[in-house]
Amino acid sequence: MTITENPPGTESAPSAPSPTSAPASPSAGLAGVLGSGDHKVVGRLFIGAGIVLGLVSALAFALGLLGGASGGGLFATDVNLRLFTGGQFGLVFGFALPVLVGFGLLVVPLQVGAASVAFPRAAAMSLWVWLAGAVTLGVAIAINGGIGGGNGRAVDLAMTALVMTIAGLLLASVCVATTILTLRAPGMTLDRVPLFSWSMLAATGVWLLTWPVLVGYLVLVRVDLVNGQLAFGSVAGQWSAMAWAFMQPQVFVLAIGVLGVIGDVVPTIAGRRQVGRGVVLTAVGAFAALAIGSWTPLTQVEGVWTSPLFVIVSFALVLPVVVAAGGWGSTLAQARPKPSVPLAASTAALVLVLLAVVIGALFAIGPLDLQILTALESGTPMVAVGILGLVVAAVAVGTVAAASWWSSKVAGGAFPTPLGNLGLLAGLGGGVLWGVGMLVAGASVRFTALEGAVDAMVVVSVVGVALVAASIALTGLGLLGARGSSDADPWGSGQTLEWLTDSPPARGNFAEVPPVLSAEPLVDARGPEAGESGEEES
Amino acid sequence: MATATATATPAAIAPPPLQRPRMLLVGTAFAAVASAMVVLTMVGVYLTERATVVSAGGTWLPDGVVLPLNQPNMMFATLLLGSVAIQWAVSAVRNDDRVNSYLALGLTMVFGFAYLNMLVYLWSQAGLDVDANIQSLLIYGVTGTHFVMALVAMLFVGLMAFRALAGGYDARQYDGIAASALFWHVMVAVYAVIWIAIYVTK
Repeated sequence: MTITENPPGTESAPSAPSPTSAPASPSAGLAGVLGSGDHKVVGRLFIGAGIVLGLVSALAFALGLLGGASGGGLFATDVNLRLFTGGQFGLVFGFALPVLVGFGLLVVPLQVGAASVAFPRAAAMSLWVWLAGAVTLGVAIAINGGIGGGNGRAVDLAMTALVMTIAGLLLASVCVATTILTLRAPGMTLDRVPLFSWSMLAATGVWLLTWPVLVGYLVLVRVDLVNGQLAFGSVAGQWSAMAWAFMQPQVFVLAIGVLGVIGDVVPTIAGRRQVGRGVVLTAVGAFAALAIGSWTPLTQVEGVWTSPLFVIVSFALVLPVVVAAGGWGSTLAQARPKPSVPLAASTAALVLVLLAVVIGALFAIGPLDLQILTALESGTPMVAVGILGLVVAAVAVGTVAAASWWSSKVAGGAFPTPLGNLGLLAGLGGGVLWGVGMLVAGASVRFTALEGAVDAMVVVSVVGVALVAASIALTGLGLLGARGSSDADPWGSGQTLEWLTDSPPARGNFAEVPPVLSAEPLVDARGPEAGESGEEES
Repeated sequence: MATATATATPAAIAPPPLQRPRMLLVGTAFAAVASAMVVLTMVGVYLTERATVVSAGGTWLPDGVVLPLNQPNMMFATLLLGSVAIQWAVSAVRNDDRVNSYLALGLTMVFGFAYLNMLVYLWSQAGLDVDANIQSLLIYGVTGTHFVMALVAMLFVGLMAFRALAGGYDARQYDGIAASALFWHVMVAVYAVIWIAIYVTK
């Protein structure tokens, strides 16, 4: 970070941003892309690589889930465990987090009126550290490393690679959070920050508090692994030190940014200012705070499920999602929005998040006996796998929404509507099959009539995983296929500063940033007739 | 005309730039909190495991393991002196007192080296075998990770010292020195937790 510090006198760049204040033009061609510190290039690379890694991870996870449920018919038990756990690593640290970070790096500086992201070279470094770690992790798992792997050096390599992967994402999180706190345009107080940027501030704050906890456990695993294998380094110890990161409430930290995407799409499509904006901001912040799950491993993962705090948090998580949904519903009720991919995908993502938190609340009800473990020796309950699936699907569908919404900024053209529709349908259907399949399988202890359906439900979930993978692939294809000349504001009703920039944005982003007097500066600039009949800011 | 020109309203003076939170300081705060969380996680695991053993009626530290308090006390005092020194550096650079800022930054580095040296010596004297039991594993894990954190803090201070020597900081712009001081203070605060959890509580 030190070497990226601005020289004296340029810290207030947003007050007078101009293309000339941007860094010098980089090299052209591939070298220009790979060596770029431009936040838009780095963001695109994060998104693209995240999509590719998401597909690989979904395949690995599906194979592990299927193999474990069918009694080891496909692979040996240790291979199933490696695929199952490695798939989860990949879906969270290879897909969900990096794609959100990518959109954060790309869109947040545009939304807050900054000429660049904070610490642009650190942002570029975060990309390469993350990518090197993720690829190395995949290689290590493939050569008999990862959880339950038989090759000790490969297991060691996997743990080190996972630390690298997380470190890269944390570094990018620092850049995004610092951008929001220090590079906002004059007049943009924190309560006027666009909802996606607000959600990214909340998300990166929570990530920076909680993912280092996983790093701490990984260090212990790594140290024990190469020494006595006394506790954390044993096969059982490895996963039990990490499983909390893929279960509620921690898994919901992946959904914070999705709520932000929804919060930007809905009012703009509706052509109205957000109703109860302060309440929605608070709800997203509360959701982020409640999703902090790094306290659970200290109380032992299995024992924590019966603790009062866990039960309270599980139920409380439903409330902010419902409140935010109410705010968006009220905004939409004031208008007759035209159907569009971003709006439909936002609605689908919200449904998936809502379903996830509701199933999470059901999981916390002890008498329902939903805490049955998977057939794999991983100590992971089936319902927890379902909740993870719903959240990953919400991120996949949220990615459809974000990619189609900001495609003019990301790809310089309009996102193909058919691919968007297919992507959101695949993601929604996949998430429901994945989540509900695991819920039904997990309920077979309490409801014995379901016992015979467990394997069938696992297959249903695997189909869901495949559909989510299809959604991810369609998003990638849509971004690659984005075509057509694009206006600065192709929606015609943009409310926030990113719609003031060229599509795609030039280096330096803004020729001039107007004074920010509310949360919707472009609505202010258009005058009271435009948008919403002069309604007061909420 | 000449009179009219002379009495015309003077051109508006551009307002001073907004006082915004400092970028490097904010970024360092995030990085410092994340680094602290890594070490504090291990301290949490250490205390949890210790509580399990003690509540079962056992003794936590195995036979033959000696964790003296004198040396950790000196290490703590050394780090605190480092905190004083780096704050002196911040104060000096704010007053454009370059000589004192160089001296204070150099002293901070010396205190950092002294801490690392004492920690390595403590490891050699404590009789801990990392693959013998979970106690040793956790003590090495916690103190070793803090060793790395202290090393990072020293690298940060060292880099800022070089920038200061190159004239990069003055009374108007001293973010780098302040940021390195912040990271150092967080590192010392984390050591305070380790001091209580491991060396005092045993």
